[in-house]
Amino acid sequence: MYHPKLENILLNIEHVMIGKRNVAELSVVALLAQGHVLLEDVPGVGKTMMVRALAKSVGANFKRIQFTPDLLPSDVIGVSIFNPKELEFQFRPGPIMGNIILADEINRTSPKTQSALLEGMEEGSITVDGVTRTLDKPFFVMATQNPIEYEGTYPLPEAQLDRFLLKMRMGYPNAREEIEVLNRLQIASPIDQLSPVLTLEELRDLQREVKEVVVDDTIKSYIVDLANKTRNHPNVYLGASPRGSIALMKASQAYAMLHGRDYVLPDDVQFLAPYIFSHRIILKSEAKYEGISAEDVMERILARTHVPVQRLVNE
Amino acid sequence: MIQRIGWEKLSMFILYCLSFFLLWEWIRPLNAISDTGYLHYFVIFIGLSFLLYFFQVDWRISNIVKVLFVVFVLRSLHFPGPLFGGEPWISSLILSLWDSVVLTIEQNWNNISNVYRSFLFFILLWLTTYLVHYWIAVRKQLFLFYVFTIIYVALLDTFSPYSGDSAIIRIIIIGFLLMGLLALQRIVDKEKLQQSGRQYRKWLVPLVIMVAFSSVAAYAAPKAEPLWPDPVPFIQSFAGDSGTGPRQIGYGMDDSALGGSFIGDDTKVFDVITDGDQYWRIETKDLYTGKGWENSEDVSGAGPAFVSGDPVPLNLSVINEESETKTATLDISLEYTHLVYPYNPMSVESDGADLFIIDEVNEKMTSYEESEPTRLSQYEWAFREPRYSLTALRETVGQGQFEGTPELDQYLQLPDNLPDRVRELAAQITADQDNWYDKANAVESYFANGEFTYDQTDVAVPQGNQDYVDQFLFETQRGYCDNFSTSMVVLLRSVDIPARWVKGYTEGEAVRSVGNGQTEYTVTNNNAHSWVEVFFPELGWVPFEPTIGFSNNVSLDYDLELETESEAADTPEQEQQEVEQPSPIPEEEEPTDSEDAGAASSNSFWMQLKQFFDEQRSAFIISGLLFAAAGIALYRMRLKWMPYVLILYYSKRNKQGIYPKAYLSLLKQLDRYGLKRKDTQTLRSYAKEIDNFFGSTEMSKLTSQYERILYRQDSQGDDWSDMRELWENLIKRTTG
Repeated sequence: MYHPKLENILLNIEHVMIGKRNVAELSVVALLAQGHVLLEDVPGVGKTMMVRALAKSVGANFKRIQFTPDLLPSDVIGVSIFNPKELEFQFRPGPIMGNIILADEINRTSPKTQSALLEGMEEGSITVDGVTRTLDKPFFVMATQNPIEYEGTYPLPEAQLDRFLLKMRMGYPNAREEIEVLNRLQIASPIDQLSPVLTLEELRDLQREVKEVVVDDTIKSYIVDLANKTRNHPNVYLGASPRGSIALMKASQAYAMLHGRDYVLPDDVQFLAPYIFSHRIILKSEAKYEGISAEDVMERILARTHVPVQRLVNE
Repeated sequence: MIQRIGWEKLSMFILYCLSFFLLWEWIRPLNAISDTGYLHYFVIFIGLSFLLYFFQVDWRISNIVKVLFVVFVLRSLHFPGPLFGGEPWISSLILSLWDSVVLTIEQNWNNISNVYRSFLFFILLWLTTYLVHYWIAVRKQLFLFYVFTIIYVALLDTFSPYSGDSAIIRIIIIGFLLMGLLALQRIVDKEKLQQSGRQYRKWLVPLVIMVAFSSVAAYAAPKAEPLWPDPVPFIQSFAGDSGTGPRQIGYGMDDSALGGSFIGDDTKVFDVITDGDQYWRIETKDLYTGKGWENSEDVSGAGPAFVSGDPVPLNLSVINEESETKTATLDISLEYTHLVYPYNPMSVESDGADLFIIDEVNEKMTSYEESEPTRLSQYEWAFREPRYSLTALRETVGQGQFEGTPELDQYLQLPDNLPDRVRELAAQITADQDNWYDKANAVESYFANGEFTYDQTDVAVPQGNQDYVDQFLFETQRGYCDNFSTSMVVLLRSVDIPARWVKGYTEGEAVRSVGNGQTEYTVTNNNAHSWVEVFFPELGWVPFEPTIGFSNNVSLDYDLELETESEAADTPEQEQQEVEQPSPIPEEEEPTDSEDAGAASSNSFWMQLKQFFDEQRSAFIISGLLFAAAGIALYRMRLKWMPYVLILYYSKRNKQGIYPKAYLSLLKQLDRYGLKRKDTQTLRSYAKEIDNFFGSTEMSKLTSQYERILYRQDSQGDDWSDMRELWENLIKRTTG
């Protein structure tokens, strides 16, 4: 039932990441919707592996930035160096000038460096020494942050969290899956065996096609309904913005395409809503003290929002 | 092109002709089964209607033509006379129709005029012709009407004297030709064929040959014997035995076959303002046949005559001198040529008649105007209240006791085959009494012994040789005034007391007091009554009232000074009680309910309606409860039958946009089944649940189709011919 080409990407990712179909799907969704992913997880669960597999599957240029407190913006976007031979400044592109970028531990670096990356994500271009340089397409950032170490971190501000299409966790594999991981990695890393299943050109076509996926008015009203509920929920200080609604729609379209459909179902919206909205809503402090998470709130909202199953008005 | 239109027209013309003949078959039997006459007018009306439809006359014009035709026919049937000048027939036509509308609202079916009935029949035909026109011109299907025609004729042929032998052949031929032509028209329409003469010939020739062949073959072929004997003679004999079903209460002439049940009738006969509350007499009868009453001599209408204001030459009985003179003013609603009169009439005042004649045989009083019987709407009686001397009544102990007693044999007549047990009963009842008055009283009181029931509806008709009185006295003991009065007359005659049977009305229902000690009464058909008169040689005819629950207000003077020692036991007080309540009434409630309550209400429609509901309250409550119970049962059982209704409903439909409806009704049915979709659940996950539950895959397939339609606005999914089977399978599972 999957889109045949996109299913190959999933198979590639699964080849290296055992039992992480959800995460793989979400990554592909973000890639198709031209969004970026915030991955919140402990180290060592295979984040890098997954991004590399994704990059390799689409034949993309993969770059990795390890964020540290002393990283400078120029380390991310690149720097102009004086070339004594030609007597002029020459631009040396930074790691952001790739197609698929893993921004590891993004909250470890200073806000100045963070914003350099985030600006690139938002605008699709960077400005160095007054020269604006357009980034390659596709441009896909998967940023990770470590949820347990808050010492010496610079948490991303809410406005910047909004720039990520979706936020997800990888989670640990279960015992059986972990044994399988060990088996596969015993001899050699399977990542080397992967071959591209999609050209960049094809990927760009798919990104364009995603916009054609039909979103019925009933679905749109369902999305708006959900967004509204986040704004009025008693535990929520700040709900999802209209940008959040747009994000949910785009992601739903991509998800529908991934599943071989050219129209969005409420099921798509339901599946994606927690990933899209959780990092966009700010809980009240009381709720936080009570141990309620944004995911819990989303779950409750979904359990209270009616799914549209027929036309509201007969044309 | 011209030729094509010609063929179209021709075929439509044939269709209309055939439908005309088919509809005619509905009219034909009316002569035989009802008293409808002048059928040709109705047939012409049908023809006219079809002609107008055929020429596609503008509906305004055709309506005007039809209305004119109906008015013309109504006029020539019911208002003969010149078209212009003479009587203003239009206003009387409208008036008559309007009156009948009012009568319809009052449910007074019997008095509806013939004009109105003809009018309604025209309306019915109008509707029918429109329907047939619609069927053949628009729907191009006439099967239902055709089947109904056959059923109609078959039923009439079986259960009525009408013989449908040739009608059924005609109908078959007409019907097959009609349906054959209509089928051709449907095909032409559907396939968008060019209509041409060739086609019609190709179609018509085999059709005609087939119809002709099959009808000739059917006619010639031997027929099976009927499976059951012809029920018509049985129905006729049954109908003949019991008269013609339940009779309507009211004054009627023929009493030769009594018995059977009565239907109450609130039609007002007259209003009377009087200071008495006496019965109203019409006529007497003296010959008991064993089944009913007739007159021993022919009623010629001849007898003593008198004019308005003169003393009435009718001397029923000697009455006490103390008796007061009273008056009664009658306002007649149901006008007859005969008068109703009180006991002991002195004179009558009326403007409308110049002569009154009392028939010497049955004492019926008829009014005449210029030697023609006339109907009076108003007259006024002066009369003396009936007061009798008890002493004088008791003096009579036997016939021939007094000199100059007139010939009384006709009032002692009894049928030869009167069972002996009637005579024995009479002797037994009167054994302890020595004079006629006490004997009559004993018979009168006998009916109040608790064994008899007053009833209008469940009353037997004597069969074969059975005697009407014998049946009532010994078998049914259930009946109304005719039973009681006839039985009393026969019992009295059995012990040689001359008696006769009287018809008239009771005093009616007191409506209001009008002052001067006078009261206004309303007498309706429900008050029609019969009672007994006993002849006392010294006094004349004295009325008795045997019917339980009724009492005739006859006053008795006790002549206290004449009381003898030997009659000391009959103290006046006792006598008073006995006399003033001639019928100690254990069952008084019952007749009051059924008869007098009927008259109690005013005639207004709403009062009748209210009363109807009051009377039938229990029936309404019970039927209401039954309906409610049935409704609840059906509602609770809806899980079982709803799917079949839905399947039936959707199986015929293949329109655009029907699949979503079918799918949503499936959701509803699943909900009823107990598999409710949560409002927050998506269809897809719900479908998975359903399929898990039933171990099927249908719901997922149906759902993805529906999703395409709903969320993708995919209209090609509307064609659900391939989905229907899945849908039916699934919805049938929910009945299990």
